[in-house]
Amino acid sequence: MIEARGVSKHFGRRKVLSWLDIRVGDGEIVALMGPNGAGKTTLLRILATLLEPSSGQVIIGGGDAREDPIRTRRLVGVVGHSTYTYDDLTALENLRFFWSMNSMPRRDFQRAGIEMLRRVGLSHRMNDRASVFSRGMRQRLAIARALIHSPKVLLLDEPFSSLDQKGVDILTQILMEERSRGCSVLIVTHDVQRIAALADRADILQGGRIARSFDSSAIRRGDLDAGYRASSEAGVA
Amino acid sequence: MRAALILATKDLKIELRSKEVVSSMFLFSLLIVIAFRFAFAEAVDSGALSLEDLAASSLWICFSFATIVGMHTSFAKEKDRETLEGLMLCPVDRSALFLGKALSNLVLVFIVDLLSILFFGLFFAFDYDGHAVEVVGVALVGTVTLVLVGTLVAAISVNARAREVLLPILLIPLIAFSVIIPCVTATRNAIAGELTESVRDIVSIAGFALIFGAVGYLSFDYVLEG
Ligand SMILES: Nc1ncnc2c1ncn2[C@@H]1O[C@H](COP(=O)(O)OP(=O)(O)OP(=O)(O)O)[C@@H](O)[C@H]1O
Ligand SMILES: [Mg+2]
Repeated sequence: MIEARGVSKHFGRRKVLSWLDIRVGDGEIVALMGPNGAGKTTLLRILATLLEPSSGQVIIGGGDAREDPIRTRRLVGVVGHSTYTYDDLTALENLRFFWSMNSMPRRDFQRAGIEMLRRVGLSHRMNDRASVFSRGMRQRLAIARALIHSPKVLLLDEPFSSLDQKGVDILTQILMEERSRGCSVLIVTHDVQRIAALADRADILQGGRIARSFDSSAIRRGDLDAGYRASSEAGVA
Repeated sequence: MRAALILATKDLKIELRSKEVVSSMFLFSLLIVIAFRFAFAEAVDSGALSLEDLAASSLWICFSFATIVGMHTSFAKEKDRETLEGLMLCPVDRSALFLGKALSNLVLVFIVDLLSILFFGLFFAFDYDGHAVEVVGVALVGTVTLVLVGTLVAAISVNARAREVLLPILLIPLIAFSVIIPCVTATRNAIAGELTESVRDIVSIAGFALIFGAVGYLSFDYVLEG
């Protein structure tokens, strides 16, 4: 479960988030949308413990994120703007590194690592260095990296970027599998069409808080499309 | 501290493949030894300059340069290739990241230490008067301290805009008195077979290692959040 209560964040005098509340339950996929500069990445970084909120509380998996950041990080898988992978390591070695850093049992890696790469469609390239990967392949590796320790919470910042149609299908499939596993997924995206098939809810971040929220039936009715367009037309935050 | 070992292993594996850091450290030290060889050959031959003094000073110039070059890359590389956040997302204490980085840095700098000692011996046809082992021992103690300070300063400066400038500016005054001066004395005494006279120097270097190590270990949470 992901929960933010009254989270505010300002950089110097610029207020980015103000008294924001958001909640993603177990087995729920929530799309976080909003205009450029609205603070979506900032919110994700706060939830991932990469950034301290100026005030407010973040609860991940039932515990306060700031009180026990290590426990929080164990529960969280993040796909960010960069892939966090090492060019000089092979795909499998990258996963092994993050597997070990998450204190997962060493003897189980071989099976889990290969299985993970199979899920993202990279198993035929598992012994190639990440430096020779294309952008989309790197993105797939980043997804594998985020999932390798079976997180209970997934925070994804525009994860569909640079994925081909097959990659998009793969990620969609993975997210549905993770949801049925009880994972809470918060996914930042601008792609209304793509998320409509997937999300249980869409929250629109604007003016530093969740300005509007669409449940799955509203999304299917097409309300999200119009609502999101309206919020984008309000211009850059 | 399993995480520290995993991180250090990862760094060393990458270094083994790319050889980016060791090769530049190695060239620096080779250059210094060669320059000294030609600058001071006559002074040494005529007896105006003792080889012990020259060895002690030039070796520590090599070691310090190796440290500065090595430290600079250890965090800057993670930052530039945007993997630092990936490390920060790992469920381990920040202090494990400090220890891991210090450990991989120590291995790399110590390799260059050994190479420098070897080069100096070769170029000056000098066998350290049979005290090479003691010289290596002093190098190890001093390098541990250098690397602990260096890792801490590198992490502090990694988020700064002008970190290439900031790192040496912060690092050199810190190491000059705590490490370099006592180490040069100790190395000279080691070659002369009088290492017992430098016990105090070595204890003080080790003391600084403890202090800097503890500061890094305890403060790394704040250092990396910067
Ligand atoms: N480290 C920082 N220092 C100062 N300002 C920042 C920092 N990070 C973000 N901001 C500001 O916070 C605001 C929100 O940025 P953020 O990256 O969260 O937007 P976003 O919703 O992810 O936008 P996009 O859709 O373009 O990715 C922006 O105005 C940005 O300038
Ligand atoms: Mg963003």
